[in-house]
Amino acid sequence: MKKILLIAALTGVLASVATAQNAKYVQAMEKALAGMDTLKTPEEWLARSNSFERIAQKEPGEWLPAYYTAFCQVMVFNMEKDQSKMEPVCAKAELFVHRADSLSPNNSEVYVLLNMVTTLRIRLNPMVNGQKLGPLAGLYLEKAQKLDPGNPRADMQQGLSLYFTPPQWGGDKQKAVELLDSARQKFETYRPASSIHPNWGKEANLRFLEMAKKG
Amino acid sequence: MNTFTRFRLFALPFVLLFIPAAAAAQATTIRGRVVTQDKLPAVGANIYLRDTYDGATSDSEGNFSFDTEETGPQTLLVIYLGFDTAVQQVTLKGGVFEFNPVLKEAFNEMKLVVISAGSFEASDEKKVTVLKPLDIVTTASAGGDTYGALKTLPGTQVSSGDQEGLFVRGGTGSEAPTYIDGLLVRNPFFSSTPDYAARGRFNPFLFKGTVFSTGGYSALYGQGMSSALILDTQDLPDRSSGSLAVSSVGVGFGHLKLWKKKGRSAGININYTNLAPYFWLVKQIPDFSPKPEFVGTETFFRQKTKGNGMLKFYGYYNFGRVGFRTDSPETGEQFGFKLHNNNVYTNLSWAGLAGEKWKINAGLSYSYDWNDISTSYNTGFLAPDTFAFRNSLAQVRLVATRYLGRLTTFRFGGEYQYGADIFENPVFGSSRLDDHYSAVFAETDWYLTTRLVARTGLRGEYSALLAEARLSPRVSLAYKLGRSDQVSFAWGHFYQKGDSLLRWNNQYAALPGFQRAEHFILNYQYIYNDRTFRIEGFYKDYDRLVTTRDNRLANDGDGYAQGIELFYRDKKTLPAIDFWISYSWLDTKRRFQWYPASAQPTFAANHVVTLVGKKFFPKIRTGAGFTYSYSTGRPYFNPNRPESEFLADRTPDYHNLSLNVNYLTTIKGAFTVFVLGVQNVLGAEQVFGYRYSADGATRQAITPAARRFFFVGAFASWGVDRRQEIIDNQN
Repeated sequence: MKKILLIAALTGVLASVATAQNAKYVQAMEKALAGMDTLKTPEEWLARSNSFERIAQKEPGEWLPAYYTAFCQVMVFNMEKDQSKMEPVCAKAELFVHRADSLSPNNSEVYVLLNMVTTLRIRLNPMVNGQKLGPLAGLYLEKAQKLDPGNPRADMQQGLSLYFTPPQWGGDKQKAVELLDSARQKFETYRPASSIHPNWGKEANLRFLEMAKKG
Repeated sequence: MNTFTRFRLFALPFVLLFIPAAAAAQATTIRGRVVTQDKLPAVGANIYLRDTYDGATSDSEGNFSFDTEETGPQTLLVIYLGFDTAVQQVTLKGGVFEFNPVLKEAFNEMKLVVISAGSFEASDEKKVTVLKPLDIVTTASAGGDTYGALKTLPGTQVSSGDQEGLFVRGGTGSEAPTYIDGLLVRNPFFSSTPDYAARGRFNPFLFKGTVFSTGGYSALYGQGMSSALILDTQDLPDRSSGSLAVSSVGVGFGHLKLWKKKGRSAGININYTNLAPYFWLVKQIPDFSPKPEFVGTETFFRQKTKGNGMLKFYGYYNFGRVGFRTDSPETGEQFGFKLHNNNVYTNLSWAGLAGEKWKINAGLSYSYDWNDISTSYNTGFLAPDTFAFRNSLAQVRLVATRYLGRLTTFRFGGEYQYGADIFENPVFGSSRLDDHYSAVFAETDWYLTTRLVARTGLRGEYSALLAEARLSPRVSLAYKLGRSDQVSFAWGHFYQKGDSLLRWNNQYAALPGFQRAEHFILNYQYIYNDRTFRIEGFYKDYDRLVTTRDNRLANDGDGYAQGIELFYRDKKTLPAIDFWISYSWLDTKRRFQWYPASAQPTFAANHVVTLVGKKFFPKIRTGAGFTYSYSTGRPYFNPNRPESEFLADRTPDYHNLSLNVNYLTTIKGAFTVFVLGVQNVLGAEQVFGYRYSADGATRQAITPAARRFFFVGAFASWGVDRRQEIIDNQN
């Protein structure tokens, strides 16, 4: 009896410690995510990336910190102008998105990000990587949509990809508008699984939709 | 159970919960400044305590500060892209902890010194290269020929349209051998007709990496007094694919299958080339008959093996025929020439790791080349005549690489070649030369620091035919001056057997020994942000060159070559335009072969300039490019000159402007490129030399068969649909 009580008590202790830890994790994530839609400079994105990377090393079993680290690196890449610095940023994004993928396989959000990161690699050397990785980038999006047809970010990225691809390469501005509009509708009703799950892109999608409508 | 015990049990959770809270009383502020080894602030570095959430990002001055409730022994980390992670064990006791880390630049390929003297490399895998493999196929003057693209680099002659080969720094075409996966290629060019250069046999898409050394190359290679062209074949493809080519000179199709899970691929290419329709449209002088016609096949097999290894087989077979008649009113000479050629080339290689510290490269190759030639003259004593030239080469090569530490490597190995040259003629009878050639070599790349590397090598060679052994020492040094530039030096001895064709006539009783070139090369290279600048100076000393005067073969020739070469490539300055410019100055003289005196040889021009430009228009998926090549005149033999003025004449300057346009699209899902190319757009007259009549009274210029060359083609490739397979393999 004593033993059972002891075990019960200890289990309770451990559970409460775990809950406290989880609360700390969520709190850290929420803090890192706060105001992310207002970031403007590559330095700001880099600082966020660092925050997520710190959480990722503290919580090696969580996919979200790795996901956001890769996401921030994509943003840093997009703002970087020095060609020689772009490759390491891309490599870091690849490292973290693949970590997120191995922690959470068959995750639609991760597949959207895999598509974005693959696009960076293509942009580094379009002549060489375009033909090699272009089809793969497309397949990532297809799979993202298949895994979660309700994911607005999959539609959004697909729409953007069709918008920026020249028509003779399978680009289609009409279809891009349709997809961005479908993403808009999905964003209306989209509810992230928690306060720290991916919930970005709603406003950006509206801007892209306006742009795509203009042709 | 007494009360005390009960209390203890109940208190346990509270006690446990309170431990961290109690520690919170002693918060520590960790602050400081992160700088790099060059004392520059590290902006955006990530500083944190391991296994905690606590950390900060350094600001634009490198300053940072954060609070932590952790106490006792902890690990502080500083992560900064491009630098080694700094790790510091600390004991936190509250208060302020000052931490001012200095970051060391991480080792990466971009920052590593590489031996650049005499060497140009094209690779997708390595970052610091002057060219990419794609450059070879998108250079206007290349026309899809690897050798054509290399002629836009300094150190090579551009006005050698009368004979194939790379004429590097005063050397003949046969002094610049080609290697595929480490194995010598005996016949890298199509068999040619006199006065018209042939293209390289091998499709540039076969290769993932190209190293073109214009001198001072590695002890792993030999039998080239000028240079070495080292080609590495592709590994496994990304996917199965089919391809189709239709052009103004022929058709071709290919299929390549990938078994991804088995790590295996196999493929075949078949092509047929016939220039009859083109020659009917664009008039050629002389009259070609039969018109050039080729049938070729290629087979591939690649298999991943244990130890991260790769087994590759490449087999090539080609049949070709060509002939022409010249009717020269100037010299009154009529000359007919017909050639049938059969060529087989096979290459089997394995490369892989043996344990952690060893890498093995092994290779076998067999090639066979058969030329049946018939000629006719109207003037000479040579009646209609037939010749057969055949050569075969079997070889085996083994190289072991031992990794010593992080960068330093030691390589050693050996090779053995059995070569046979056979000549048959009804008048002269047949003759045959067999050589057993063997070589051993060892080479070390000593990385003293990441900025200083020394390569020392030694090559021993023995030819049974020549009954001679030679030892060649070779040394290269490279020192990285700053983040983007370096100096490099190379020196070495390079031996080569005499040109085999010289030995056909049985009248030469004794065979000469190895010829020798000694190279000294000094190079400065700057590569940063899509701009490359190189300047290289060299001096070459030739000794023991084979001469054929007085009905004997001897090693009593000699000569020298010296020069300065510039290369500048820029992808940045002009918007979306990639261009490069090469300039070579060459001063050379030789006494060899039949030369009665030392003279600048007929294949060497003093000044060569090439300018290459490329632009891609993404909106219309079209690429356009041009190459302009200029060369001062080449010496030519004028029989009317006295010996004191031997090779004193020069051909007119050479100009060649080439254009190409590529349009990329998809047709029914197949990636398709339409190509349009024109060589010598302006129709400049190109003279490579003169043929004199027997009495020397009249002469005829040696020129290309037509002023311009036009090429139109479409190349389609499609991936066999294995999309689900690709997705599955990602998981």
